[in-house]
Amino acid sequence: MVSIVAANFARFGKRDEDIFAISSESALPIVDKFRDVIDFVVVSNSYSGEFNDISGLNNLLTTHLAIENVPSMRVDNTSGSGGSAVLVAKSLVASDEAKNVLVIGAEKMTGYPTKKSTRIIASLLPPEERRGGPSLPSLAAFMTRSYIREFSPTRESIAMVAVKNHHNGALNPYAHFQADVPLEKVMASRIIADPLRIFEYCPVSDGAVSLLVTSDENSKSLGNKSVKITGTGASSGTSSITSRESLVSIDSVKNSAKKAFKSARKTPQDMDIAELHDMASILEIVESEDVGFFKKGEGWKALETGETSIDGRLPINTSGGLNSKGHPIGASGVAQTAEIYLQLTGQAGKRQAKNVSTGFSLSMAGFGNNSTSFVYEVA
Amino acid sequence: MELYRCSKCSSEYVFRRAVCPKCGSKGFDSVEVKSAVALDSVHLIATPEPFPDDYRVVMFQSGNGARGFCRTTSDVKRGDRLRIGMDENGPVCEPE
Ligand SMILES: [Zn+2]
Repeated sequence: MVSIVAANFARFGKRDEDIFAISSESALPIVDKFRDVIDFVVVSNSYSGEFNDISGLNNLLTTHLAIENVPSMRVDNTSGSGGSAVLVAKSLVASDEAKNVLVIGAEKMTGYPTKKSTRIIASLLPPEERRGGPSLPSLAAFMTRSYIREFSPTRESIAMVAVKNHHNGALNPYAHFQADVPLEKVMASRIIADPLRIFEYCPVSDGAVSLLVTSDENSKSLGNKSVKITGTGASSGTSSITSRESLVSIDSVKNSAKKAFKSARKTPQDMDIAELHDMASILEIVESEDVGFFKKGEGWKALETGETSIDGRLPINTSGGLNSKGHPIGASGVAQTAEIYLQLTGQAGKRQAKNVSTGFSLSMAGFGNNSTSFVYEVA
Repeated sequence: MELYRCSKCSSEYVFRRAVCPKCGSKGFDSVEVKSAVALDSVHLIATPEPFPDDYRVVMFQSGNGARGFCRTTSDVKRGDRLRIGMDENGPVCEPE
């Protein structure tokens, strides 16, 4: 079995520093303590070429950290890079290819006009679909419209995802947004893609986060608190949105979660806490159903009852989620694992959920083009 | 706009693939589509380069079941019949 023994964030948001400085801010506390035992580095990053004019980021980063003799690779799987990187790290340890893997998730994407960054992100769509003018946020709007037609949720319940996650983000010192946003303000904010409004989308952020992944046997000798990865599941679907049977459900999410729960011998109902990929408010609801936490068409009700708040039965996105913590693409999936690690080891500060010993995270690429799910348990 | 029709099973696609996902054939013919039905449309304010600033993205379906996106500045609703053409950036549509 494989464990996580350290997690460290560099604050997400608009940062003046370059990607090397942000990455090392997150990695150095781990590298300083475990320099002699780190034998592999996996860097999760998707757009260093497009945003920073950098290729081979992994080797540049290990050189920056003065661990350039440690083998490294960069994992790019768009928004799902982080989940893929954690899966690669876990597999390196499980196969005995490496003993202690440093995972660094990093992205530096602010400083460009929104129109330009929207174009860069949309480059993951099939070229012929992309020429019709959709953005990734517009796909979430199509999903919202279908969901409202099919299940008649209150419009407010969807916006409540942003209210809840901004509240959580305000309790997280590493989050991009540091303030509560009341429902009225979300509902009156600028429309980005009808019917979704600006507070219902994640911002464009810079940020980095690092983890140390090791074997269970090793985890004891390293001395830190540890959390086991007891289930993993990777699943893929089509890149083509218009080819999908349904817009209110994502196959890769369903299948990756099913695999992860099966490999952990757990059920969705066994989970105490979860981090989902809330690039837009509606996605948290749809994913919470596809993962199996709620029946299809009923996930929105949890926002009204408070079931997914920090003090609820199943806290979702205590970190603030992508919605409030921010979505530095390559960092996001790694940050989900880091949040569960902090929560399960009681190190989540003001946003600490009570009595949590099992956790789940869903890292999603594109608009559900593929997904990686994880189940975690306190060691 | 141009669609790709599988030369074996006649399935039509908006985007070109190396292999037909329905029958596995590798042959495609190019066919012209001029009309379709709107499955839904989204008014998009924050648009990507190289497109103009404000338009509706329409998800359409052709008579033979091919689905894709087109842009319009008209008020297109679900179920509307569309005329599809091309501008310098890609497919555009208008209600019939
Ligand atoms: Zn065919």
